[in-house]
Amino acid sequence: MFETAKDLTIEAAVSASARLADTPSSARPAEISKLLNSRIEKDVSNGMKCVISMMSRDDNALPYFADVVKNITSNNAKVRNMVMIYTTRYAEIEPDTALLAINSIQKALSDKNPNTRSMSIKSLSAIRISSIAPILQLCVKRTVTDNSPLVRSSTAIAIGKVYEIDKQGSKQLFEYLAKLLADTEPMVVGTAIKSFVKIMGQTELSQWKWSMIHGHYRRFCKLLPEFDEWSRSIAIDLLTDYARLFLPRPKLYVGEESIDIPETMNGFPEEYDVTMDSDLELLINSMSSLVKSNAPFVLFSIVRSLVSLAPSKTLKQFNIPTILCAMATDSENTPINLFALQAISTICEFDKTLFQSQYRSLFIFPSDSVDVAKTKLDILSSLVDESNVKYIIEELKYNAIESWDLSVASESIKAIGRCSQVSTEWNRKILKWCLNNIKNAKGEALNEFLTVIRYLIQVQQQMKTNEATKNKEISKIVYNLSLILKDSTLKLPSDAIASIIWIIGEFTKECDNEIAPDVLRVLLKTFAEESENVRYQTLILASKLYSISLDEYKNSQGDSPEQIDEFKSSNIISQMFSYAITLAKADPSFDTRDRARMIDVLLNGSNNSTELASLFLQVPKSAPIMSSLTANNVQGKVLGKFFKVPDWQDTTTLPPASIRKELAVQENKLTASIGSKVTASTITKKIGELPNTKHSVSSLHYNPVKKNDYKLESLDDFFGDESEEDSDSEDVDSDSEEEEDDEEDDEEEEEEEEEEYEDDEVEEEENDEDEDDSDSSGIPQQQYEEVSSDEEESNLLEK
Amino acid sequence: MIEAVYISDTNNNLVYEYLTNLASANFNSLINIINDRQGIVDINANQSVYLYPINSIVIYTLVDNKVNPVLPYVFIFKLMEVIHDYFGKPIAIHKIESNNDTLTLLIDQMLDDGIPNITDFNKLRDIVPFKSFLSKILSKTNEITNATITKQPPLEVLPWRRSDVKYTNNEMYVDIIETVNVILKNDKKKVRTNLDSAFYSTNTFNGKLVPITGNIQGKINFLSHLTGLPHLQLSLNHKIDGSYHQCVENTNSSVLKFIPPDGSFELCNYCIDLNELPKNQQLSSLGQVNVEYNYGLGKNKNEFEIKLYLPIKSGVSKIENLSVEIHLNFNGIIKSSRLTHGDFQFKGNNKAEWNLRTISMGINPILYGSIIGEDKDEDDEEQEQETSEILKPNYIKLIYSNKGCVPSGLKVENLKLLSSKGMPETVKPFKGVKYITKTGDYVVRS
Repeated sequence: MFETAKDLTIEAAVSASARLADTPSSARPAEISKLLNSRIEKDVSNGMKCVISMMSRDDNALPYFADVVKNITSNNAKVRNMVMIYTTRYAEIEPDTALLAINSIQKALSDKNPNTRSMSIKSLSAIRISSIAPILQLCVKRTVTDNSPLVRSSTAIAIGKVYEIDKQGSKQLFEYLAKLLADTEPMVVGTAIKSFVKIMGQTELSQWKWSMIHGHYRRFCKLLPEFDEWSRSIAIDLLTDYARLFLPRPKLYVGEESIDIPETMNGFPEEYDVTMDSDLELLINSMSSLVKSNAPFVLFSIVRSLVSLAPSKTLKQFNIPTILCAMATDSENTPINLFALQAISTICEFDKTLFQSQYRSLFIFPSDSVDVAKTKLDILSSLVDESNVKYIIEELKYNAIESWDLSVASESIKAIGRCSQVSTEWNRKILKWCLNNIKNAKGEALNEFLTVIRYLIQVQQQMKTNEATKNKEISKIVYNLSLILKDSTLKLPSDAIASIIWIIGEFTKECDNEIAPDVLRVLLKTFAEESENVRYQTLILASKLYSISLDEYKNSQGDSPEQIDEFKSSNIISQMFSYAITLAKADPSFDTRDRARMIDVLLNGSNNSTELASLFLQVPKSAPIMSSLTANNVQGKVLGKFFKVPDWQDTTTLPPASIRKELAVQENKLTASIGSKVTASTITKKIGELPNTKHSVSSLHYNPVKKNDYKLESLDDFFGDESEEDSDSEDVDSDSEEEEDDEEDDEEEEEEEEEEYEDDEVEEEENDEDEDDSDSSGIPQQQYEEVSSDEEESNLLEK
Repeated sequence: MIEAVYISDTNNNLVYEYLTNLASANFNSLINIINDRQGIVDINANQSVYLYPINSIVIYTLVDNKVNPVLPYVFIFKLMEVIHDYFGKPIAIHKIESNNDTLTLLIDQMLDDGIPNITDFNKLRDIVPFKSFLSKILSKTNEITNATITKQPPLEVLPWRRSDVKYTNNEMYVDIIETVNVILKNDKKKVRTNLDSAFYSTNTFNGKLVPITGNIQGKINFLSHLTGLPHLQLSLNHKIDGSYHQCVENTNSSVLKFIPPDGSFELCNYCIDLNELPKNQQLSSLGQVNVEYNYGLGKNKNEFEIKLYLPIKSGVSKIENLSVEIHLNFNGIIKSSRLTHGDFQFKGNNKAEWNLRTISMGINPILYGSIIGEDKDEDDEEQEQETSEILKPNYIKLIYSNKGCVPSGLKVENLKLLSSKGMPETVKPFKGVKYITKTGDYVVRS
């Protein structure tokens, strides 16, 4: 009943508590302090709410530090949590006051409730004051063996935080982390992996990094399905990198031949067999069940892994193409769409046959964003082959003409241009279609059409068909273009006219110099009325024509100066050329005048210079690049970076597979059931005593570099009467005197227990060994080796 | 990994921020870089901000570039799920402002040192109690129940289900929701033969539209209010190929077994690619409204006709929010000359809407309209004479939803409670099933 009541009144409560939160605003600091110092729990809670909401509004909540920190002893868990969040945020600025809270937070490590313990180690480790590092080390040591997986998970992350402030204790910390990586609970292992990756991401410890993974590789693979989604994705990424570095590259067999798996499988025969290392197979098989989980980023990790480790067959087995296509079209997950499309385009580079049957699901919907549409077009044009070209081109044509967005339209035209590679027949068809549509096109689309036409002509030019038919084709196109140019009803923009003139001039040789002269004749008539770039292109056309006919004349008639003079005066092209030059020399545009003079000097000058001129006027231009658009958007770039993996290593230098022999699982949860003498009660007892003795213990065990002179007073001391505080700490009231006595006793006890405890640990390990008879005795030894090598590494580190 | 979470309104005013540590950039220092950009914004070589606008707010995460690029979005989705669960739907500025303390506690659990940690809202409920202001009594009972659960197994047992679930009304609901996205095209030959008789055309629908591409996005939403640890079995009429919530034990059968999280969650989502269905099934899987669409009609070839057919089908009583959008890709005006049902409105921006709202089955509404090009006024006569060119809409878009069935024909056959620890045997939970069809991009091209 209460639950329903709760559900019903959530709305009401939300607005009601809004009013409540407003009462003591940040404008009245005194009031907040008063609340924080109140003895009534509700007031403190409200005060904390104000402080936290100040933090979340980017107001400075630092002035309340002392008021807040003393509430760490509150009985209300929520208040305590809020204080911890506050403390961890500002501890760096007020280290001295923050230290006061540490004692109390540490006390919470012995709380019965695992949530409290977890929160405690979490906040404690987040206090970035380097002087407390030894205490943190000790706390981590305790919580590594906590019996709640939740606490151990928090410890795994805490290790990363402690490492940041205390690089010198890294050896110890990594040992703890190694223990957690081998934990019995998948949850703890998962978190440990997250933390591990984060720590290793900060430092350049690659050798060290991988040495900790060898022994766990197989177990991690098996545990993948049991991790939470965050750990899954991170673990898959880690294992993929590992496999690239330490596993032999799979081999593909086509018939008798065998080759290493290539980075791209495009153009690879469809039938092949694969052999791969059993460890690699283990990883791939354990991922197969994860494909069905509904966390998209795990899928991206799997895709990354498969593309870099497995042949395209495996991607098909995993049903990746269908899943990605579904993801790319899922209208409720728009931010993911573009990523899915980029992943598809990456896979297409790997093996485009995977998506060849899926092309229809990549057609553009009207609600697609421009980026999505462009990426879809890019993929479509790369998927084209004989079987689907008809449908894809039809769709692209529709988009080119009917699209609601001009940039999508011009992108479609580009895509059509790329599709022409399929066959000569399609090249011809597309060219024809382009010529038909050029009349209706506008703006950018028109320019794209002309670029595509130029590209298609050049492709035809390079084709290995016989010269005569090829030239016939080209002259047909050029003729059509010249008709378009003459059609005064079209009102083409000057840019387009200029481009057409350029194309006609460029390919005039292929048309036996027949069409261009007439075009030039017409253009010269209206030269004065044309726009600047058209006039410029007309000049260029004239000089190209002249240079070509001059060359022809020279070849057929000889090149004596008299003959050339003869040519200049009689030939019609020559006359048009000199007319064009005369006109252009008086052009209002600086550029055109300049160019006209240059060409005049070159072509009308000495024999040598005419050769030079014909060289640069007739040089074949390279085809415009019909580049793919991939990685043009941020998503593409980010994903590209993510998909990067290390290179395969040379098989001969790989360490033997035996390094991946599984290490024993660590029974970190120390309870009576394990059969050791350390019982849960002794641990809690020890943890309970910890706050009083930590200083002595820490100095005993860690020899801190700088002498640690902090006397950690309890909060009661600090906030006690002024008079008492003034006096030395020896001179305290009876309660703390007793405590002091206790402390001394405990100190000794603790030491003894500590030793005892360590003995137990050894014993326990021996027990493990005995139990693990089935496994060879090599395991502990290996473990030992591992540790020793770790030691070296960390020594290096310290230097 | 994730270094900060910000929430702002649409005018870039900060509503909420959470920084994982003191060094993380605060929102106001980033706002000039983010400005009005969308998607992913690079802040520097190592950091990016991911933006996600929803309703009246924008959620941002500041992440380092080493992470899986999709992860930040998934984190935002998780955060929204949690906000919905704690503060109710829809997400709104005032809710965040008045609960920013709880939100901080929640995000503090969801992120530990920037690493996504406990993100499942069921698990968070165990850790961050949602104490609404009014509920002194509630908090008392919480404490009592809390006292009793301490004996129960710890929460790690089922990572997705909170441990102290108690309801007096036990109930569970299954919602199967499918969204149809399709691009249809007129069969060209038909249009030509139909040109002059179209106005009073009495042709019945005979499948003149051909799908070019399409898909059906489906999902099964589940709402469970069940005491204890219920083990459920959901039998569907056919197997679905999709991705499942982690609670589902078997994914290769039409009978799903699972222990549900408490509250509402997405049990499964799937996508049916229409292109992979056989031709004759394609049209029948498009839902309850059939369309007939002709254009280029009339003397000036600038008229069009849309006929909708709503065949009677058992289980479906009415079509809701039915409307048809007519889009042009040039500047022009759309007019309606005759319509049998609903309202027609030209909305400007080359778009018109024919709104039929809720309409019962068995009715066949018709719209007859015409298009006037914008430049028509200037040289009216010239246009009249030489318009050999057809004026037609770019596409029409159909929008509707209906209850009672889904296009793929997916049905729940039964929903059983296999076992339930902690629930008295006499309790018979209420079971409810709902089928909803919606349209996403339902487009007919000219």
